[in-house]
Amino acid sequence: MDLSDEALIKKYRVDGDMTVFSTLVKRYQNRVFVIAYRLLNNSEEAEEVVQDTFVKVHQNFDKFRTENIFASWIFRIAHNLCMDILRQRQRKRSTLVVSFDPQSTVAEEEGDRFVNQPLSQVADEQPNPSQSLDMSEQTNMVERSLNELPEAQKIVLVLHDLQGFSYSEIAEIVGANIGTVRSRLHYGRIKLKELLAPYFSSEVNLPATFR
Amino acid sequence: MQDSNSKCQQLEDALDAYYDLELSAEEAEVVERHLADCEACTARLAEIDSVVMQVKSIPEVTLSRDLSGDIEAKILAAQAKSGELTPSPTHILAHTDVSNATAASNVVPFAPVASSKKKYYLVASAAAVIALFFGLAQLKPAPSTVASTSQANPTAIETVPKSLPVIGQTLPTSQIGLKQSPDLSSKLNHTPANATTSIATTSIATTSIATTRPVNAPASTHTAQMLAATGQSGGVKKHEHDINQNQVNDSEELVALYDYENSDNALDLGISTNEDGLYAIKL
Repeated sequence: MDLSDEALIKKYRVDGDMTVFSTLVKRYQNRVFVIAYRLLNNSEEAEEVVQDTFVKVHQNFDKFRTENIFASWIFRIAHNLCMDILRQRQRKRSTLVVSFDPQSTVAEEEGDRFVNQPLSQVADEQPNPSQSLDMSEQTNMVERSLNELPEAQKIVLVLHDLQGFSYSEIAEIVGANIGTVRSRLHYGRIKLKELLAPYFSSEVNLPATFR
Repeated sequence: MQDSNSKCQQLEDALDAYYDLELSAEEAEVVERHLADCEACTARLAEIDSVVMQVKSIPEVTLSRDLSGDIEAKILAAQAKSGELTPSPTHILAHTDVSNATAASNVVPFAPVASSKKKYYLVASAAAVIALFFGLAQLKPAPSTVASTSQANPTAIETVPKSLPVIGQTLPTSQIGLKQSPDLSSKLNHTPANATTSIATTSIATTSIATTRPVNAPASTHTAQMLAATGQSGGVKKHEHDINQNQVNDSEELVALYDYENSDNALDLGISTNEDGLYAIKL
């Protein structure tokens, strides 16, 4: 029988047995990875976030209050680590200049698609909206559109619609109040609908429960 | 109609919460009553469902491997670093490697290679000029040193092979200053005094070179041998005296000198001139 998070935490605090801690790691590592991957869009960095998250969890284990939800605490740490990486990327991007030399063929920098590429060589990778999309293309399009959302909206959408967290849990993870979470989710979905509109039929199948 | 629009705006973001079942029972009832009368909000609710379904259609990503082992290792390493645990031998080894790597990375070249070559030429030129200066200075007061060794022992040149550093070993250094061996030797045949002068120059140059290098340095081995052969620097005056007593017009000796100048040993000191007459020392 699997022990609850609270029971494992208590056991680890008493015994200090690393296998108990590893059980918690195994329980949450994949979900942390999914969130980190969705936020960072890079599996290597997401794996690093998973590792760093649990190292931080271990370092601050004494600070965790058992009245809080352990999962939310883990995901908050992971979220903060992801935000750090995104901020670093932002800073890096803000210092880079796009070349205007049409003859330039300087190789693009790692991690930034258009860095040092002349504007004339920055191709529009979006497919023609009139093209019909098969299933895999549709999911790619949704993923790409999701990545175009502002980070704050994207994380709320990922945590709720992909990971199934409640508004209050999301509020705890992202460090915002429930009203903010609700608002971000609302505007995130509107924005996503706008981004996807050119590629999908405007006809929607209303679920039976809403008819 | 206006009342309906204002109600729609009020419930705009509540529709998402309603869809997500995040509203209280009272709030949910208000929304449901509005939806019964408002087609626009019903359509909007359908759009929310469509978008959520699209998001949920994104394929799940999973971790390619179990990271719990790596995480445990990281935690143990962090504990060892902070002194909580005794570091394992592997940790110590890893730390040593890192420190070595750091030390190695701190090592910077003394000077760029390109500029060091120029410095060699400059040093060589300076050494040659100094050697010439002292050689000329000693020209008048007394003829110089090296040939006296052979004079002290007249049979030495005949018996000593070319490779031995008796007279021959000092001569190459004369080439440092004067370079061209056959011509010089021919001149030596006719003007012994000049020959001794050049030899004297050589010995001084040799001494100065020897002082600028470590004695045990491979390149200075010949220099040390020469000094030994010529009775070290302390014996220079004695040799000069010998040279004064013995004329260098000894034909056998000159032949030996000539032979030596043409031998490869002349280059062993690593001092040469290029075609422009600039001096260089191989360091």
